[in-house]
Amino acid sequence: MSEAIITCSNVWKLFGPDPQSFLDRHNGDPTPEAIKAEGYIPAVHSATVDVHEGEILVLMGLSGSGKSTLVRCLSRLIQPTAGMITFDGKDLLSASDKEMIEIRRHKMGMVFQHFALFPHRTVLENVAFPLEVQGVARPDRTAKAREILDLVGLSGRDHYYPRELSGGQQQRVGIGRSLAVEPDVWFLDEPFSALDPLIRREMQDEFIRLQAQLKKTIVFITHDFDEAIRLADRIAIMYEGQIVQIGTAEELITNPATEYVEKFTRDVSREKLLSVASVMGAPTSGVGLSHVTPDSKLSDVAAQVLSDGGPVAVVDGTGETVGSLTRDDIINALFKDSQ
Amino acid sequence: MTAAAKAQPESLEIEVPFWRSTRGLIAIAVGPFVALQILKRVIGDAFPDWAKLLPDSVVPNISEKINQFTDHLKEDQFLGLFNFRQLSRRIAGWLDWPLDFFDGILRTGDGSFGIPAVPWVAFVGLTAILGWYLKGWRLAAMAGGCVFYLAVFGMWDNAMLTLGAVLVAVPAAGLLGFGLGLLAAKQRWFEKILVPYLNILQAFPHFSYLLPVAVFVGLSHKAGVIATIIFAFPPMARLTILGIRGIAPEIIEAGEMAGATPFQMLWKVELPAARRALMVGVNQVIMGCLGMVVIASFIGTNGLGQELRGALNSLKIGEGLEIGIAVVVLAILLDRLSQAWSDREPEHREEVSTGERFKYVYAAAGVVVFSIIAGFVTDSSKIYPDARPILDEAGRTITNADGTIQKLDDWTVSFSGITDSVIDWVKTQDAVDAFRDFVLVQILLPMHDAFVAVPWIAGLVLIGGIGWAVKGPKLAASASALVAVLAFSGWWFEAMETTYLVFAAVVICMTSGVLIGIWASGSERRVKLTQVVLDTFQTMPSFIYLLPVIMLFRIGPVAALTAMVIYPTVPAVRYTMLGLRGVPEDKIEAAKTSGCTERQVLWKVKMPLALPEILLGLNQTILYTLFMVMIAAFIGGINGLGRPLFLSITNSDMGAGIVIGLCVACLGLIPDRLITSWASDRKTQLGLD
Repeated sequence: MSEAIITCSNVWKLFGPDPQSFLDRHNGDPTPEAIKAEGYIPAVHSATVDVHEGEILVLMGLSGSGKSTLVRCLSRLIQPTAGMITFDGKDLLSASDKEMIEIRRHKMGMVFQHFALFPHRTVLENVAFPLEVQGVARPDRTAKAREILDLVGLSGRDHYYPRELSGGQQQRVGIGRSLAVEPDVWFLDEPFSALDPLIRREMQDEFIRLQAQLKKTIVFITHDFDEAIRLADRIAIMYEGQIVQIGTAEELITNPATEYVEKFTRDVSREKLLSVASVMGAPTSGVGLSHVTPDSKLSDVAAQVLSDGGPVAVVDGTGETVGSLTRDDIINALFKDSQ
Repeated sequence: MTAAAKAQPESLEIEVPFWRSTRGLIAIAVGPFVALQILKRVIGDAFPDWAKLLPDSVVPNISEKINQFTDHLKEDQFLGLFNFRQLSRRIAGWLDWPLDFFDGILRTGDGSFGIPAVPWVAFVGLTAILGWYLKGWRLAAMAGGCVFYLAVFGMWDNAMLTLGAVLVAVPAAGLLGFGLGLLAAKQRWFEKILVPYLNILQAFPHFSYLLPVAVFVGLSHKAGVIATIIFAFPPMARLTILGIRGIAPEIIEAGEMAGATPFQMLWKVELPAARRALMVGVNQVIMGCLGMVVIASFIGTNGLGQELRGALNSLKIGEGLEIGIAVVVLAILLDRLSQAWSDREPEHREEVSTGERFKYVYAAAGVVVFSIIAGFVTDSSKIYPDARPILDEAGRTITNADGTIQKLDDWTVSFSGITDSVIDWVKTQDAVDAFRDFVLVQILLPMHDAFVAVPWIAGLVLIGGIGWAVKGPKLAASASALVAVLAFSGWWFEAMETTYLVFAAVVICMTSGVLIGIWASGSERRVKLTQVVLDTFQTMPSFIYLLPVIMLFRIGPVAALTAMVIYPTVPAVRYTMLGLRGVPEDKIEAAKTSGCTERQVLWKVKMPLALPEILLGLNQTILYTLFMVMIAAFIGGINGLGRPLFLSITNSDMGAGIVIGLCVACLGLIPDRLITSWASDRKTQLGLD
């Protein structure tokens, strides 16, 4: 796996009268009971996670689970109560205000749930804003902003004001603005939650297209598991401020760490997510002529297995048979809950 | 089944006895009055004298101490260099330059700048173009018309004096308020100091601002401008805090993530994002300045206020009305223009021809060229021909040195003659007098007697009790502390006289205001219509409301009461509408599907949900009424705190002025504390926040 660009270890964010001394009193690791008893609210509860270069890490959880707070700790919009965050190998939490401004000007970009566009600026001026505060000359920043608007599919709207655009278009501006400085790390805080389902779908496709082109390191927040599955390389599930499990979508489904994760993943359409490798049995004799590959999804091979009747051989890229797949394997995997 | 039972489904409107449907209202209106009567008759005698009215020996002589302190400030030198009065006069001197500047531009045209005064023709044209630019041809016509009115009715000179004072006071008050508000928005500790101070400041009556300025700066045109600045800045400070705090956190975060420095954050993100609130603040500052500049004529500010006061003093009602209308015209002009400015939302523009893009500039240039040419043709295009300052209306001729008689040009119009004759006719109508006497003898005097009989200790306990019931011991303590201030100020009796008048006016205002509000909420069209009427009423400087009333009822409590009820009804209507319109649609649908009649929907669902909002309206109504009582003191014939406050200004009695001002502020703050506290709790309870 590629290198971690952000590391975050045992990060706490507590709200309450005096969180610092409260943590000290409990040696930096209070129990949830103690936190409740003394009236503190653990927005982030000892979170540890690495963000690898070029991956899409999705922070996933219901509202109030602390995912927004955690991402704000990573970008240091919020100062964590305790813990350690490094960015590009440097300690982010000890960076001075001036250094933070430098980091944000060149290395971070963020997209907001409600777009957070500046209502008094045109589309072009919004996108050019991060360049403007850096002091980039007007012709240069305008050229760059035009280029970005092309990229997000908004050319021709340069001189519109945000309120003259639809929600989807506004978020394109928000995305454009966050990309203007070509950041290394891209934070997206529920960027599509405020949009209609159809537009949301369209924007997800757009996002996938952009990422294929840009290959950014991304921390993406959502409360929508389907969205997480579509976009994520890895998913971190948060509950009451804690990260309860980190893994690929498939790992979460086949191997949920807690009951909470299991509940969360229950309604997912498994056939599209589970690969042959995760449900197949040992190689057997009596397989037919046709075969499937281990990394195919069940939805792609189901028809083939069902029509074949008997077990189907699973053959990997080198031509070696690694397992077999029967109707029962598929049915058991899909209807695990009803057993 | 009987016939009656069969018929029932047809008459869904179930008859409610009149008494039952209105008993609540009657109880609210009559209850306190009856209670006070009982208090006076039954319990009143049970109180020892000291509990009714504190003897003079107990009342601390604060006024005296304030006066000593003032004298010390005035006369004694600091550091052996200068005294406070010299300092304040020096600071006041800074206003000379801008006042001269605007006076030069608008009126006299001479001065050290060598700029000619703007010709009235050019002023009309440029104002119209400003209106056109800000909103369109309607506003252009209105704005141009307003300025034209000032010229036609011979108000030009005085209106320009007033406008000049406003143009100096507005930027000063705006910047002061903005600076303080900005600091408070950024620094919690400063907000904690500033906001309570603003609360008290805004509860002080207009007149209270005049006194300290008169003492330290003296009576002059600029003294009034200073009082105006001090009076008008609090709303700007408040709205600056509100605007900056009200920015969505995401917007701030977006600025931070772009790497904005604190300075860039302020100028490029926060201030533009708070533009809306800031513009509302500017509008309020403008209106506050205009209202105050008129009243500041009491300490020597020239212009329309001075003229108006003169006309009222000499009971030239027709002339007074004309000047009053000029004030209103000026108010409407400034309000609509600043309103249109703040309403402007940025909009993308398609590529247009140069002519289209610079049409406003071309039009303005056209006006300037026209008025220059017109200036060569006739002087009448520069200064509107008005002979009245030179001669009275009868003559309009002047005898030259060589004996020839020259007729002066006079294009002014006046309807004061007509007004005066209408008033004379009204005065001869017995019905008006009969009505006045009835109200005075049958209602007001008994009420007056009941109120002034209230022992201060009873007031203290009553207010404390209400405070306790609303929020608990803390509110009880702070509310009754305010009552104690009244008792120990030595002005308890006068305060109760004022309270009685306020009470009577508030009952009238609320009854009519809520009814109008209910009617107005009935349809979109009514809402719009009512808004326009309310806006117009609110635009008028409060002083104006005295005018029509004196005409009808002459001076006295009935006239004062009538003058006091129009202005404070505005918030009553406004908040009732706000409350009723704010009731969530699903609640109304739920009531309708439960089988409520329109009437039941109103009384069982809408009104209870709108009640917190309506009570906030009550709070505003009480404050407005208090201010009006103070202003109504000008027309005389009423007792209470207004008259002595007034006298303290004439006598430059700083101590008395401040103590009485404080009493008025207390009268306003008591209901304010109780009502806002109750309403915000209730709103939370109802989930309306």
